[in-house]
Amino acid sequence: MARELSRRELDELLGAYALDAVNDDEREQVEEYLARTPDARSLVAEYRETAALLAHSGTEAPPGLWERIEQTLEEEPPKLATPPPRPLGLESRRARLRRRAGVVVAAAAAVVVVALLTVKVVQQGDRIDELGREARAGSVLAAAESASRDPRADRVALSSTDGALEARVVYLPGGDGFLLQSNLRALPADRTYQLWALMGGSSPERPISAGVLGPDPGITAFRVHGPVVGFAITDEQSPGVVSPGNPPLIQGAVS
Amino acid sequence: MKTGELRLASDAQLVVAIGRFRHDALSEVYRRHAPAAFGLARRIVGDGALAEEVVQEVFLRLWNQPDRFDAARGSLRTYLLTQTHGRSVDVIRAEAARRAREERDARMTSESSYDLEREVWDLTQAEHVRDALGLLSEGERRAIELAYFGGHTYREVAVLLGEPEGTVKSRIRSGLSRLRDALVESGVAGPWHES
Repeated sequence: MARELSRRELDELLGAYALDAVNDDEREQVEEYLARTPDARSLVAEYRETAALLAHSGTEAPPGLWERIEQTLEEEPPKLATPPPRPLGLESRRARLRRRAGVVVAAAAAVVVVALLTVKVVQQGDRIDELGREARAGSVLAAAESASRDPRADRVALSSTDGALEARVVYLPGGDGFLLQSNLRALPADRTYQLWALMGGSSPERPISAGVLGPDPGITAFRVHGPVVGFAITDEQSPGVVSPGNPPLIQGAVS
Repeated sequence: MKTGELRLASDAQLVVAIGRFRHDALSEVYRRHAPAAFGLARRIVGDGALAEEVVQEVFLRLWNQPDRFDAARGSLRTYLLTQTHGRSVDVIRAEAARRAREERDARMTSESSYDLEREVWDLTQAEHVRDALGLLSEGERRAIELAYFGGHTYREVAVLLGEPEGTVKSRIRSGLSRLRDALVESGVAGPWHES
């Protein structure tokens, strides 16, 4: 059994971890640490981005490699006999498409699908409606991606008091913002998540609704003006409320 | 999105299209990033056939699990190269590839001019990256080089350099941090972070 590493030791390992230069025991402990430490995750992401810039850009991929890959795609997705377990309440749009197409795919139940790229669609509705929603969500995704790279943007990590639930918001100076990602579980159809902007200038901060997120939130655009000092998400009765009826599940301050 | 529009699509939009089983979207991602992925894999595993297997696996993984790419955590290129690096390291650490690794190490040793700068010579941002590398100490450069391109653990790097493990850990981390700061300042890397 490997010795349990201290937080300081784990922090010191982040660079080596980002370069895949730790042993298996250390990697396991670092990954547990990353799962509960957003700052450490950010740091590892930065290290990896830096390392990627060092990589040789190459000249050309070998001839025939793409054809071999594409031939393999024809065999995907695999057809298995058992239905897929739903991973932690967040299901990818792709998984829905697979299921609708009658193709049943086995998925690892332990895998947490953090569905940043998930295009959220309603559970019911015909295919045309779904594709239309996806197209719009694709635009939101592109805008969210752009905002997340804007150096002027504030990035806000929202989390529950026990750290089990979290989400991220990016907020631009002009008032546009995006809920980027969350691990909030899907709610019953008569409930909805609601995003609140916490306005400064009073104590406690005054919450203003920044959007009704639905029972299974994906990437969501919102706009709110004023002295925003933080964001919070509550669980409310559908179709949403004027002022929070419940304590925040997760919240975070603009740094 | 029509096929002809894919060339203008962002990487994130392509991944969304891949989620809709669009082969042409994966083909466009391959066109953009496969050369870098293959170049990195070949450098690490030291064998073209093994590198092709790595690249094939990385792109099939993107096809099968597009949701694992998180656009807020970094670019698609970074994601693919991170996957490529991890898989390449797995390969060279496997018993079956030991011979290839030994041959590669021997070749590296014989190339007196082998260093990090040669790995970035043809990047568009090569000049900025070279400038940033110039800010590192020789110890930092060597530790990062052996870990990233050599596929060695920091413990192995410590043995290779005859340095304490703690020193190597610190050099890798401080070197990456200084590189990162310099590349952000020069505009090559984005200053995004989670909070």
